[in-house]
Amino acid sequence: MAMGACAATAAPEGDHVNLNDPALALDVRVAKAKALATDKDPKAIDTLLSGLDTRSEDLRATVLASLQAQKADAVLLGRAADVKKKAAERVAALTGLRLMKPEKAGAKVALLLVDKDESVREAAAWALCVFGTAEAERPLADALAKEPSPKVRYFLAVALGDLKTPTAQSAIAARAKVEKDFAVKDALDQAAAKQNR
Amino acid sequence: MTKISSNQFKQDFKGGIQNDAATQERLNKAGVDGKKMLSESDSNKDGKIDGTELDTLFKKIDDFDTDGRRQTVSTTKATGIVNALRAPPPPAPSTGSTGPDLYVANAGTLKKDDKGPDVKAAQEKLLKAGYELPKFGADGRYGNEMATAVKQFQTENKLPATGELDVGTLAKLETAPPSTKGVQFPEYDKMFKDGVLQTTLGLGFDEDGNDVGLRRDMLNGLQERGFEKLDVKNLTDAQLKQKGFDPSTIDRDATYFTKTFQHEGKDVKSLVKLVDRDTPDAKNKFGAGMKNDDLILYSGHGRRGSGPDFDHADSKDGNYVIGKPSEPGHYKLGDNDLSKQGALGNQYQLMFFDACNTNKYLDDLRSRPRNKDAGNLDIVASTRELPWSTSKADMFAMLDGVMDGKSIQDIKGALDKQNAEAGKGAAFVADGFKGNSYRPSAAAN
Repeated sequence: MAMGACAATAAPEGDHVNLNDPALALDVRVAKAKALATDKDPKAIDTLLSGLDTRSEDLRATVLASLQAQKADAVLLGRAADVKKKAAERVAALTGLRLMKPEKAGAKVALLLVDKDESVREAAAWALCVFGTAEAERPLADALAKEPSPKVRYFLAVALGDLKTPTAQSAIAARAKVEKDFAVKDALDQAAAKQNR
Repeated sequence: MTKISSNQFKQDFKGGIQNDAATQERLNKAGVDGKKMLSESDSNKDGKIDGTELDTLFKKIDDFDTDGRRQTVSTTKATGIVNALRAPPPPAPSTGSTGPDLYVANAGTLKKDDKGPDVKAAQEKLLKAGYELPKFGADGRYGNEMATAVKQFQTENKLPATGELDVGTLAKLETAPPSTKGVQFPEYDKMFKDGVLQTTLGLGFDEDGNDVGLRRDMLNGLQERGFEKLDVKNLTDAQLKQKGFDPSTIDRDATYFTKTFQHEGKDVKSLVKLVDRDTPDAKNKFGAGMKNDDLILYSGHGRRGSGPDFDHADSKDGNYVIGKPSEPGHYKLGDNDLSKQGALGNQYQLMFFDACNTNKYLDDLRSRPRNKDAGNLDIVASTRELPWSTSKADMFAMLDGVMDGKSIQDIKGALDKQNAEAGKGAAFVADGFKGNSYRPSAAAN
């Protein structure tokens, strides 16, 4: 998964434009995102997810407000966990959750750390870097020991580093002894340093 | 022009490449030092380049490539090198390019009446090198106009003036310095004069963790380019000096990466200090870079024109304040850090701000530091909102561009292309370069 790309589902049609469409002016995209807050069409959430690859604080805030108005967190958690859905759709849902940071979602997202699909595990670990809580501690620690993909291990190390618990500390130390990947080693160094701050 | 990916390269040569005199000679004819290239790739010295050694070899070929992309090669020279590895070249065909898989190095001489993508690529190189094709441009047809330009190029480069593009002429053309008409460069001679390119690479905080992903991708990008971590905590001053670094400029609490590259035939050490959300006292570490370093790279949020920010938008602790927020009162900010610092370093500096609307920093950068002007500070800033998905490519367009000695037009062109937006002008502005005196020397190539 490319950094920052929300891996959104296909660009919606009609009024449900792609909010990341560079052919549309930013203020138009912001207005459309705002209008989606009350849109009853099931595609509204997909359209909002299409606007996540932005550094515009205005568009981000509007997409977030509309997702909250849609009470999208429950929908996104359901999509992320649904193994029948395409991986890209599940990743987009997890990216949306990273924006929404719903309370008590950590435990449910942590279950996805053992998903069969690497991109789903990656997006789940990334989300836990943002809203990981103590309830995700054990799944994160277990995953760091077993996860084959360095792309995922990087985020696991960061998420554990922020928890600052003894379990996290020992998981980081254990992985650091065997880790070979350049970026993950650095993330483990950073995570270990954070334990002492 | 054929494009060859790293994966395709490894697939094509999965049986290995002999490190022998014949292969070396073919590489020499393609314009590289065959013995050096193969010997340096053959890490286990078994006379064959295979397995992970192919990755090393591909990177070496990529070093000759100017397509701006790692993991693929597409220029005539680079694909010519790959072709030289494949097999002994066939007899020179009577015409030029006949198909998409025919690389120029193997196709022999290009000459009048030839046509196709290889001719077009050669025409583009002639134009880039300043040889005019006023009537037909790069049309892919080898006519009188092109033959005249080739003759002129050959004469000026002390080659037989045949008007035909033989392998020797093509190799020379590949390494010809770009025309300097209307082209500006960062002041590379000043940046590299002490043999070190000292860079601060700042990754600003994002509330949704996009900077965490960017940090991972930047680390992987540094590794792909051959950077290694420099353990500054455990190196003595003497050891740092031995490595070519001035200990007084090193922050022992920061994270550094280093590699050596070549500029105009000389070794330059690239030293990158990484500053991010987890860097203690990130704002001041970034500020030290703003003062002392040759190259300052920032990717993250522009914070509505107020400056880089290394912590949550609601906190003022991590803001390196360059200007004022465009919406007063939106952020709680401290004093302007440029004014607090008073002066930045007197040395030439290049700053790149890869965030939304960082052209709003320009007025303050041009007015507040009392010892900086366009003579010792060049700036590349954005003119609109940017996506996250281009941030890694943007940062490496600048870092690679500087290490490759590219013109600011080339660097900005790559940035604009990556951030193209329909109906809008360029995504970046380059400020201060017009009076620069640096020009690449012909000896560089």
